[in-house]
Amino acid sequence: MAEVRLLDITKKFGNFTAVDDVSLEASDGEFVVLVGPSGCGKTTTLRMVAGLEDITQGQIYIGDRLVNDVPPKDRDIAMVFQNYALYPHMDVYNNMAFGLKLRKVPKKEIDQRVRNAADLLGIGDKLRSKPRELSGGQRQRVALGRAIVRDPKVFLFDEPLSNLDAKLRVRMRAELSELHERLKTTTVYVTHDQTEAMTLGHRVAVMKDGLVQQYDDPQTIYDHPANMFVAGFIGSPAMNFLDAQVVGEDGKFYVQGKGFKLLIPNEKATDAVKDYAGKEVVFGIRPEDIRAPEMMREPREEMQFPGRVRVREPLGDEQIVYADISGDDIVAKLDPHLPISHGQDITLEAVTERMHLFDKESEEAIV
Amino acid sequence: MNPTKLLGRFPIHVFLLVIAFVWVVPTLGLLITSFRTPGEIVTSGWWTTIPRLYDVSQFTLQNYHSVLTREGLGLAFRNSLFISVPSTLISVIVASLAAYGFAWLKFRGRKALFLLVVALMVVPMHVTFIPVITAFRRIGLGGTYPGIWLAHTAYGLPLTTFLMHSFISGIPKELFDSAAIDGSSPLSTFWRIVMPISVPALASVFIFQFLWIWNDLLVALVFVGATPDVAPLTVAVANLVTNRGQNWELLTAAAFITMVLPVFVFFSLQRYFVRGILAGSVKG
Repeated sequence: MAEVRLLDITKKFGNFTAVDDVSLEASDGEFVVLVGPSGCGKTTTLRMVAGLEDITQGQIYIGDRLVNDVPPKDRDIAMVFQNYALYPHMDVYNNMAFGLKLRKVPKKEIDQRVRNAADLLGIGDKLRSKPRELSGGQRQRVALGRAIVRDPKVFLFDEPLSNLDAKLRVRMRAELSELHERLKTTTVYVTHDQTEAMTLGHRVAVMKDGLVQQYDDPQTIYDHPANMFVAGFIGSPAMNFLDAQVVGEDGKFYVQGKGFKLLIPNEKATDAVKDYAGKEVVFGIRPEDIRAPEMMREPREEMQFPGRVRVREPLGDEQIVYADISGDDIVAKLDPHLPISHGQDITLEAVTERMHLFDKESEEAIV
Repeated sequence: MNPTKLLGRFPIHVFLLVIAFVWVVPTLGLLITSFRTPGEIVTSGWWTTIPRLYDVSQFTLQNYHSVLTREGLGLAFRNSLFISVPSTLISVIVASLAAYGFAWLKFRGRKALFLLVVALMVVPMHVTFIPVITAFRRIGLGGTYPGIWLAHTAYGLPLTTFLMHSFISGIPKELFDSAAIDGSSPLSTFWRIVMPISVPALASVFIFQFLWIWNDLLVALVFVGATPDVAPLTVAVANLVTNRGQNWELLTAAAFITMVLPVFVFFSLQRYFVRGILAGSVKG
């Protein structure tokens, strides 16, 4: 096992900068997730760690070793690909044993390691099957097995679950988590699925345009997104953004926009916020932080605003309500038993203790 | 199958039957004629034997015996094998290696070089005969097996490389990444991954190239035509037509000897045309 450190990594394809001065480190045994929309540089970053892509600038360390010029096979890593990349002409056993055979591991040991991994993954009875005879989930398990038998210092995952159907994906996600608990191998995992990132990662790096936007544990990323991109990317439905102004009145501070004026609670009224008094900001509030006052024990008028229901999506355990407030759209996750119908006028209350404010220009978080 | 579907396919079936009939009848005529005596061939048509096909006494193996021994077709058959098999193997192997390099190895001028090779497909081989023959004679390759192997390989390479390239470049990139991480060198990846996966393509290119060389008369005539010890069946049959144009019993037997191997090769490898071995390696 080992830590992985990326220092000021840059990757250029011609004039295009795919990865821009990225620094990250995964400590020994940590599960790190790179998440972001397609084209954000996450896969390129992973491929540079694997050695499948040259590094334009910067250094990558695995353990204490600088691996910039070390070929993939000597980096002591194993990688699982989105499309499994199983060797179609080999059976499951040989797919898993291939890397060990090339490394001249004794036959007995290969056999033992392959069987252990296969049992661990529940594919012990499939060892003589060819990949084409397996289901998607089984193939992905073989790909995992191929990584496990090598007993590498680092696991690299490139969107390993995105080819599976939704149900299987949830199950494999849990299995991956469990597997990591058991093996404790340092892992770098790439995905575009924020749920996967949140559930699997000890730490999550949110990337966009080749830059790391934020690198933190999942809860911090959710609670304190560094900028509007992170705030909008993590969480579903996405955070609401409304143009607003910070207003100071009688020692109290409000965030005011078209159709709403909400009290900024004391703990949120930091010096940074006060500096923005009279200036344009972007007000951010998550759908789950908007409530219906009638469902609250102590409704607070200063945090309420009116709206009109446009669409309502009942999901059973909650209902997603799209409301119009003075021409802007806002999404709220409300109690499913609240009687709401289309076109109805409604009063909503923002839990402003969990509100966010962003600088309009830089889109960086103010609070 | 339901009746409407059957009816819908009816024209296709009729069309296929007509084609099969048009091809089979002359072939059958050739086959029957090759087993008849010269006297009977000139006095009655081959179809007159059909009502009494069970009567084996009307047929003879003498024609085959004659062409194989007296007319030298036995030697020519062996020569054809000695020419076709190595020429095909060499060109398929070289083409696969080249295609793999062009498709997956990174080197300067890769695209330009590949285009150059493909462009060679349009060069008529005839313009190369005189210079190549002259060069061969000078280095002692004229009228030898290695000489014609080299010639066939060279003439076949542009197309075989192109065909193999289109298959090998379609292998998912992740397989190569995976092999590299597993510790496989480029050459070992070629032998352990690329070649086994390419079996369907190899088989079709092999058949293609083999039949081409087996049926080739021009290159054989130019490079080894003057050397009967090395000359293949096509040259021998051509000579037979010139020398014994009237002896239908010999010509038909010779024609069948020429056909046997290509037919055998085709039927033994044709399943590779159909089977896509790649199914299952990646989700497609």
